[in-house]
Amino acid sequence: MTYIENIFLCLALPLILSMFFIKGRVRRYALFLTVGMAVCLLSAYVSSFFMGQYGVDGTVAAIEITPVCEEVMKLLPLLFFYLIFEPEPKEMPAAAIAIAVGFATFENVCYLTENGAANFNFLLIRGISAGALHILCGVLSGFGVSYVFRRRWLAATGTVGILGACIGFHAIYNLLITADGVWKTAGYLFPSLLLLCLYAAKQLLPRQNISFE
Amino acid sequence: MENFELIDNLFQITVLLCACVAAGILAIRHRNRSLLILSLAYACFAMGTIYYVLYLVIIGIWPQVFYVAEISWLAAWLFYLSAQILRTEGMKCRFSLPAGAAAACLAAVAFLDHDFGPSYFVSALFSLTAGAIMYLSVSHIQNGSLYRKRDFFMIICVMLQVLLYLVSDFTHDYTRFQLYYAVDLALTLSMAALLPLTLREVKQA
Repeated sequence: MTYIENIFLCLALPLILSMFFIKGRVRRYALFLTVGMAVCLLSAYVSSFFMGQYGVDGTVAAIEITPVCEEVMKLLPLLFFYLIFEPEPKEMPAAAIAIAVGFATFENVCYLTENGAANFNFLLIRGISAGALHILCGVLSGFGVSYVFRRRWLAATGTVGILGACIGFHAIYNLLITADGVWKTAGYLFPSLLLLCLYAAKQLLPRQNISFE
Repeated sequence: MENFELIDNLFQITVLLCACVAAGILAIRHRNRSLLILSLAYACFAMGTIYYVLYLVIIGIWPQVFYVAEISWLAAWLFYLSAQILRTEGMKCRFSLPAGAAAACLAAVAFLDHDFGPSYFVSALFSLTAGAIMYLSVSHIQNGSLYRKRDFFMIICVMLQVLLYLVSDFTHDYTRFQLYYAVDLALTLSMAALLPLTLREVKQA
């Protein structure tokens, strides 16, 4: 049995304590990191509920149920932050990425407790690909909500659209990594390659002063 | 998966991914939000098809619990709707009865036919989205919009999507070329045609 709540406490408590002694952006980053971990814990409960409800095994849950639950749960704190605190658009991507990183970190820790930490090569590849996947979804949510779909009806349709895009992307990754052979390799590689492309674009675009107003 | 189904799906994925990349590059070049939203729509539609094909290839059956491919396709239609909403910004909107009637008819057909799976929630969401796209497109045409071709193609796209599900009710043999595939190929090409039309609009604006 995995005592997932105990693991969460061990990881989150130092971060929460640190927030009493830090300020500004670092504090906000630590807060969203902790929120991301908490969201990962909650989405595990929600996924388990639907698994029981539909009576499916772990594999089917991973490729059909988990992506939907995880992406919905990740978007909720971001929307809360956006709607209640009305932050500047530039603050949203950082918050979304911090939630995604917290989520990916806690997911990796849970994976380690269940499957062991002996295989360094595999864990390195898994760590990079799972991290890349969640960060890509975070970037899409953060930039989409804050910069592309900001006004009235556009915000409603755009936000749900972005959620659907993240679900589709996450589900393809989960589907590929549950398969064998070349599919699995493709699954582990494609989020990292996309993140690399995004990083290259990030380096190039500021020089051209791009905006989508 | 049978031969023609694979060919049809691979054709759709290839065309839409190419259109997605082209729309993305053009969005950056012209600094335009409509093209960026169109790129997202293409990406979502392609992702839905990729998931569906991969599921059939890897697992051997189609998804049974949560309809993830349908969620991705729905996201694509929400982005198409967003692109239409973006065009109405700054326009004076009055209720149009013909547009409302066309939208209500399309939404009713889509909902009653259970487009996008047996789930009432997803069917209702798609029906609303399809109806809204129809309403905005017909309104634009009625208001004498300068770029009617794009609205006209948007109407064709949304009608083909609903028609695809209607035709699938009467299609049982997916191994060879059928009306179903003709509609699907027409849908793919109509969606791709939105890119040059949007680009022309962006260049003339």
